Order: sequence, then C-alpha cells, then structure tokens
Amino acid sequence: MLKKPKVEHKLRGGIDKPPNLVGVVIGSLLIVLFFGFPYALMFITSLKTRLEVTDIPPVYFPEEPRWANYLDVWTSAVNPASSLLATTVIAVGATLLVLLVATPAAYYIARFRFPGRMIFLLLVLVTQMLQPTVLAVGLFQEFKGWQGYAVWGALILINGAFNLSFAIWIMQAFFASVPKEVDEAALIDGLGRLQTMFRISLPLVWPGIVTAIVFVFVNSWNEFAAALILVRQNDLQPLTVSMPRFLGLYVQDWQYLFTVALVAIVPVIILFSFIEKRLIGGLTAGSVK
Amino acid sequence: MSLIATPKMVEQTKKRKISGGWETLRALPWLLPTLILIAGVVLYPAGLMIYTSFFKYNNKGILRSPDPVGLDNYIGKAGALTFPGVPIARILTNTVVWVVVVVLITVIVSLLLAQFLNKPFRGRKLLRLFIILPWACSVVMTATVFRYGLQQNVGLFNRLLVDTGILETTRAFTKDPTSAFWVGVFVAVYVSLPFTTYTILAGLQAVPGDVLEAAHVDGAHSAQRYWHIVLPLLRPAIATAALINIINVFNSLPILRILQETPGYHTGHITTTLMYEYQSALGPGVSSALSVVNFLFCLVIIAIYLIIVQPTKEVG
Amino acid sequence: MKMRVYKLGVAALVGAFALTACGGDAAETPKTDAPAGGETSAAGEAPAASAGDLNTTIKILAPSYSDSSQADWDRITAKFNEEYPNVKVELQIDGWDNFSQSVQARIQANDYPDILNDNAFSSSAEAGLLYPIDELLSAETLANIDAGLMDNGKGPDGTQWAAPDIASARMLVYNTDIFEKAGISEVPKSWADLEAAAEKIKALGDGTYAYGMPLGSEEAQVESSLWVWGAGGNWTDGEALKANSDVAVEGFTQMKKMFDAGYTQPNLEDNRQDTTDLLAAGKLAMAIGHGQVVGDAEAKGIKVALAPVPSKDGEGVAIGVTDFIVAFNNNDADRKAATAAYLNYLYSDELYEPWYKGTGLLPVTTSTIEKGKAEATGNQGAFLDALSVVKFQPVSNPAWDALQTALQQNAYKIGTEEPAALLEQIEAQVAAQS
Repeated sequence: MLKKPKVEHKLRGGIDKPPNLVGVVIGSLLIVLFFGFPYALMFITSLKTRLEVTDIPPVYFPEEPRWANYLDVWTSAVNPASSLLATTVIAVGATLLVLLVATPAAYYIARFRFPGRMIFLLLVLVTQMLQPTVLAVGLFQEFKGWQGYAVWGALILINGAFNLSFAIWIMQAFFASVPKEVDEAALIDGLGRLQTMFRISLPLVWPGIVTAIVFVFVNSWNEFAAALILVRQNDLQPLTVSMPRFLGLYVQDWQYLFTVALVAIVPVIILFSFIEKRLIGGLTAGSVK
Repeated sequence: MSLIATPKMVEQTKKRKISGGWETLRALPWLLPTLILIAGVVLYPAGLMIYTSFFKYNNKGILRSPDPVGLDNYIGKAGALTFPGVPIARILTNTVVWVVVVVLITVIVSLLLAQFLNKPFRGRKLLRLFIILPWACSVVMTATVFRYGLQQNVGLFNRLLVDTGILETTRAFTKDPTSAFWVGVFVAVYVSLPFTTYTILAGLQAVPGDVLEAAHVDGAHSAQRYWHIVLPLLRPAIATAALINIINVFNSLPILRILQETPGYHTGHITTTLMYEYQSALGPGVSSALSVVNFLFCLVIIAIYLIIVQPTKEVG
Repeated sequence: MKMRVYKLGVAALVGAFALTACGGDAAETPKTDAPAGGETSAAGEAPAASAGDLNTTIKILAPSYSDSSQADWDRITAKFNEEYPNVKVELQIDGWDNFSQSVQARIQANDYPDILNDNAFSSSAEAGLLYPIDELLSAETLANIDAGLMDNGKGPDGTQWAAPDIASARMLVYNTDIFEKAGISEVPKSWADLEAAAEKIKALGDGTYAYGMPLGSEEAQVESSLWVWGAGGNWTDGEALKANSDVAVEGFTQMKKMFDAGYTQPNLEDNRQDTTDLLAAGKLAMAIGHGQVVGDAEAKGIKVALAPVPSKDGEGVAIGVTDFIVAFNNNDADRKAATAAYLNYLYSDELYEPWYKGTGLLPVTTSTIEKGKAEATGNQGAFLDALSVVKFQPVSNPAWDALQTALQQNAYKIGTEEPAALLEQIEAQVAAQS
C-alpha cells in the first residue's frame, strides 16, 4: 500500500551508503503523514469548544482556536497534573524495577546453560500471556490494602511483573550476542560476575536495554485495568484512569480529553529523545565480533 | 548473533549434565528476583481466576451460591462457550485472523521502517521520534481518536474521505462489526509498529558494518544481501518482537472494545473482547471461565509459534 | 445467601437516626437495631458517642456524571468533616464506561463501599448486602425526597433499599422549525400521528431524519421500554419479568415499522450522544431526550419544544430514570453512623443543590424540585413537571439487570430481525442466567 515506493529506495540505499535524497524525502513525508494524522485530529479537536466538537458536518478547523482549553484543563476537576505525576512515578518505578530484576536473569540465562533454563524462560513468557485485564479481580484482592501512596508501589510491582518477560527475552538475546571471551577476560582481571555484567557486558548491549526500557516504560504508562480498580483516591489515579472522567454520562468533554492526551505525549517523547541517542550510538560497529 | 558451538562449549555442556542440580542452584540468585516478583504478583490472581471460573456470580460480582458449579461457566446453559446468541465459532476464527494478520503486517512494515530509519540522513532522529507517537499516546487514546474521527456524522476522517472523493457518503465504520474489525486491525498494526520497529532497529545496530561491507564488496545484490545476511542476523530481534506482539495482540482489549460500537455478542469479537463483554453482562464467573479458555488458546498459539520459529535457537 | 430482613419499627429507627447537622449525640445506634441475623448486627458494638469522637473511615464509590463530579462530592465531604473531623472519607470516582467493573471488583472482593452511587440496587439487596436506606436517612431527609421517586428504590417486599439521588425524565423533544416546514401543526400523540408526521418530514427530502431511535448500549433499555409501554404494557408478567410478551412484541413491531419506513436515523446502534448531535445540528426532528439534549440543541440555536412521548392510543407516556444511593452493610456501627451522617449532609438543601446541578440532571428532593421549578427557564421546567408523572423501569426486580443487559445488547437488531424472534432471543439470554 502506502509503503511501496519507500521499499525500493531503502534496499538500494543500503545501510552504510548515503541514501537517495528523493527517496528520503518521500519516505519521510509518508512517515510523518502516516504517524501524524490521528494526532493532528486530536490537536484540532483540542482547540474546539465542547459544542464545536459535535458539529454536523464537522468543521476542519474551529472558528477561533480555543487555546484556553490548554489552560482550563489543568484547573478542571479531573486534575490532570496530579495524574501526570502518578503516571510518571509508576512508569519510572516499574521500569527501574524491571531493569533491576531482569538484567541479572537475562545475563545469566544468556551465559549459562542449566537444567530448568528453558522452563524459566517459558514461565516468564506465560506471565506475559496473563494480562492485568484478566486478573484484575485477583490483583484487587491481593493489593486492596495498599492505599494512599502505597498504591503506586502496588502498581509498580504489577507493571513490573507483567512486563518482565519481554525485558528478559530481549536482553538475553542481546547478551548472548556479546562473545563470552569479553567476559572471560574481565573475570581473569579479577572482576566478579556481577561486576563483569554491569561494567563489561551491559554497555555492549545498550540497544537491547533501551528497547526493554522503552517497552516497560510505555506499557506502564498506558496500563489501565489494574489502576482502575486499585486506585481509590482520584488524585492518585494515573492518567489512563482519570482521563475517561472527561466523558461523563451526559456531558462529554472531548476537547479536554484530547488536550490532556496530547500533553501526556510530551514527557514520553522527551524521555525518548534522550534515550534514543543510546540506541544509535551505543554500539559502534565492530565492537561485537 | 549466532554463536558457533566450539568443542569447548560441547565439553562444558557435558560437564553440566552431570552436576545439573548444582548448576540450577547456582543460577538461583540471579533468577530469584524474577521468580519472587512473578510468584508474588502473578500467581495468586491467576489461581483466583481459575477458582472463580468454577463459581456462579451475577454481573454485580455477587456470589450466587457457595457451592462450585463444575463446568457450568464453561459449557452450562449460561456458559462461556455456549451462551445463547454468541457466535463462538466465528469469534474463535476472528481471534486467529486477528493475531496472524496484525502480527504479520506489523513485522513486515516494521522491517521496512527500521531499514529506512537506519539510514544516515538529516532529520532521521526527528523522524524516529515521530513514529513513537502511537505508542507515546496511549493505545486507548489512539483508538479513541480513530473512533471519534470515523463517526458517521461528527467524524473528520469520514468527512475527509468524502471530500477527497474516496467515499461517496459518510459511513458508520465503527457500527458494523466487520468493518469495525478491520479498522481495529489497522489500529492494532498502527500501535504495534513503534515497538516492533524499535526492536528491529536495535537489532540492526548489532549488525556489524563490516559484514555488510564485505558482502558489498562481493557484489551481492542489495535485496539478496538483505535476505541472506541482514535478515538472519535480525532473527533473534524479530523473533522476540513477534513473540511479544502475538501475546499482546492476542490479549489486546482496548482497541476492539473502543472501535466496536455494535453492542452485544456480534460477529466482530475476538475472545478477549468477548471476555470483557461477559464480565459486564454475566459477571466474573463466566468471564473467568472464558479467560481460562483464552489463556489455553494463547498457549497453543505460542506453542505453535515456538515450535516453528524457535526464537531461542541461536542462544539455547 | 439468606436475605436478612430487618423487621423493625422503621419509624422508631428513623427517629433515632435523626442525624441532623447539629445532632451531637445522634450517632448512637438504637437498641432496637437487632436484625434477624444476629452475627451481622451492628448493634453489639458501641459506637462513638459524639460526632467529634467518631473515628473511622467511610468509602464512597461514585461514577463521573460530568467532570465536576469530584468537586461536587468534595464540597459535601468538607462540610461533613467540619462536624466529623475524625471521619476519613475515601472517595473514588470512576468514568461511566468502566464503572460497573469497579463495582463488580469491589463486591466480588467483599470490599463494599459504604456509599455506592449506582443505577441498580436489586441484586445487592437480594443478596443481603445492604442496609435499608431508611435506617440511615433522617426522618427529615426521608420526608424531603419526592415520594414518587422514592418508591423507585423499594424492593418487591416494600423495603426501602435505595434512595434516589438524581433523576432524569425523558420526553419527546422536537424541532419546531422542522415541524413548521413540514407542515405539522399538532404534536403527534398516537403512533398513527407519529407516522403521519414522520412521513411529512421524510417528504421534505432534505436528509432530515424524523425520529431518533438510539438503540446502542447506553439507551436501548429506555427507548425500547417506551415503545413497550406505548403499546400499553410492561416488561412484567405477574411477579416475573418477561421479554417476549405479546405487548412487547407489539411495541417492537412498531419500532421496526418506524425503521423500515425510513423514519429513523440509519444506524440503530447509535447511542444517545449520536442522536443528540443530530438533533443539535438540526438534522433530526424528534427524539426522546433529557435536559442536556435540549440544552445542547438550544446552545446551537435550534428551537425545540417538549411533549409527552406518543403511544399507540394517544395517551402520552414519560419515562423516568433515577440513580440511587445504596449503603452497604460493613458490620461496623461507627461506619454506619458516619455513613448516615454523611448522607444526611448530601441531601441537605444547601449541599444537595450544587451537587445535583453538577450532574446536569434533575433533583429528587421536594424542596429543590420546587426551587428548580421556580427558577426554571424555557424548557427545563417541563422536565421537572414531568417527574411527577413519569413511569419507571422495573429496577426493583433482581432479574431486571439481566433483561436490561440483554436489551442493551440486542435491541438494535430490530432493524434486521423479526420482533418476536428477537424478543425470544432476548428472553433466552435472560432465562439462561436464572
């Protein structure tokens, strides 16, 4: 479909050769259009009034863009600021937790064969198949006592646990690609296993780690089912749970909903632009193999 | 990325077989945090789900009888697989179509995107940030904006399609189970692209430049070179990304729940959305029963995938 | 589970629970509070003696009516905490879409909110999870709630399990300009009138739909009930509910007739918001609506008027919907006392008025209804007037949950299926759950 012209250029361009300029421009434009259009609609809608949102036929642009929506929304009863904080704490917490827990496991799995290794990998995979959506009631039973800020702790644990599998699988694939000899040299130099992992192997598998970080972070950022039933206090609710409150039973504020949705993209993009450097620059060609 | 089995490794493997128990024990400290987290957070609710599936509840979550009801919630008169008016065969088929189509298209498009974004050109970084949009904005919100844009009367996408002459009149895409299903497929691919593209992009970073150069010098045609050299090296990344995608797509609730505006047990469900429908209409007993079935179904799909693709082959 | 029946002198109880704002020691539980199932009684525990000493936490679970809902509740809590500083109020508000999930999870985990604001009470009441609400509300509060609306919260045996907290009345909303253009001089009263009017509107040929019939999951039960009532019947068959009675088939047959003749909007799966949008855009002549529908239309400069909903023989019907406050029995005298006090605050004129206004719906207390009528401008007063004549859905029947769900899931199929067959299918789904 849309992608066809790009294919040609891509393959001819290769990886190390400067690409064909026309191809790059066309490809870039297509990407921008393709990945931008729903968010353009969000943006346009966020500048409308509540009544303009439901105009028939719809107007492309509001008569007068209501930038005030971007201010009003912060003082609305839904209180997106506190939700943004909640979401951030939970997502960052879960990401750190996963890194802490998954890295040693992935490293060991990649370095050693031992009985039960495959069972472990599959067990981890099974957790991915069980989504919080399905287990909401059980999670509620388990964590219902964790109220106040502790609920964030509960959500960090939950998001961590349900996102472990990908982190372990992807990181072990990357660790495995680092030749053993690199480690062994370090071990001979008198570093312990743990130190070797952190100081020698870890820097070599940055792209894998970054992918894992992003995966866990974004999934936690978007988690809804567990947060919905666990968080009692509205000011502790993450965005995914608080935002639907803009759509009341009888009064629906789509413009606010989309305003907050767009604002919430910003922190993720910022995080990404930082971490993305690592992804590109982490491995210089030739350091592996 | 594949490691070649050296005689030394074979030797080690033999040795390990002898002292297997000890090896497992030695691995424990490294794996323990993971195991604790899984046991603590996942096992209890999973067990409760299975337990719940054997009791009768109403849709307010009230237990109707303290005695277990056997397989009633599975195949009874109000059972998950036998409830009147539920096109269960169609829904099971939908589920397989949903997973296979979404994951296949996602992987193919992501390969193309990753190749493109791996080229050195100005603005590449910005472009890479652009493709993260569907992910940075929650899946729920992305699906919501599609639903809003595709409304027959107030939707701007609909108006755009008419104004550009693609459609003659506006259509209620989300109010027909079949068209909504395919809109759902589109959105599911859309939101899966960032993750998959990035995973492959990360995999590409690990493709050593000299491998490609060597191939280039040899005069390998670019398509051939891609097929025979790059793709095999990307295999672990792709295999893992696809694996996770299969599971996520299988379990994906919000996309179809938001985009299917037809109420009830229509022909555009997958098992996961049916489970949600059961939860609100019939209560936790029946929906847990379907969850159990759903889980087993997912297990089968994953098992088939693992057997065919063997994503751990290179390292295991 | 055995239903606990409170065989008490309700009047005596109510007197003892007259927890007015100044009732310092009113929090005492009466000695008479000795329900049949003794172990679950709250009477054995000594409650705190005075408001200030009451030291407990009460939990409220409520849906979001509009984005001011939290602030609306917070105002009540603030006032309540002035007198009960040591009672912590834990408020959880969730979006409507997911509200039933929250309720279900809480009940299944036996973590009952003390106060639940919901649109159903019968199955919780049947399972014996609730306090009769008149154990908690003061005589003054009870007397102030409109008697007709209050009846809607009674169980089959007459126990007052729930108190309405907000109401809405649905009436026929019609676009007067379109009526004029189509040459319709009189508002349709009977189904025959309705068809005649719809034919004239259709004849305009400008793409205006005559009648909005939202049978999506939000509104299907209300819309279809109105047609069944219009046919002169109800969903009941003696004590039991029955989906496929002859009169229901008649009502559904008329709905199908409207659709087949092209009088309705093309997608019967539409929700209330869809038809509201059409009406507000001047593209729909008639719809069953509530206050917000009129408000939105008028805000867009559409002239609308209200009338009773047409019926088969011309006797207008109006449907009322109330949401409820129910109080779960958590076997804790302190919590019960605090809950009672809280609820009496909720219903006090000073606090109730801004609270109900925040929901965008109609009030339930006589004093605020009267005040509303006095202050009402334009069409809004008509809805308040209608409150005294509205008919309610059989919410007190525990089987209504299942029927309502089945209607929400299936009613839209009337466009493509035969009325009798469709209702039979609905009945089969309900019966499978019994």
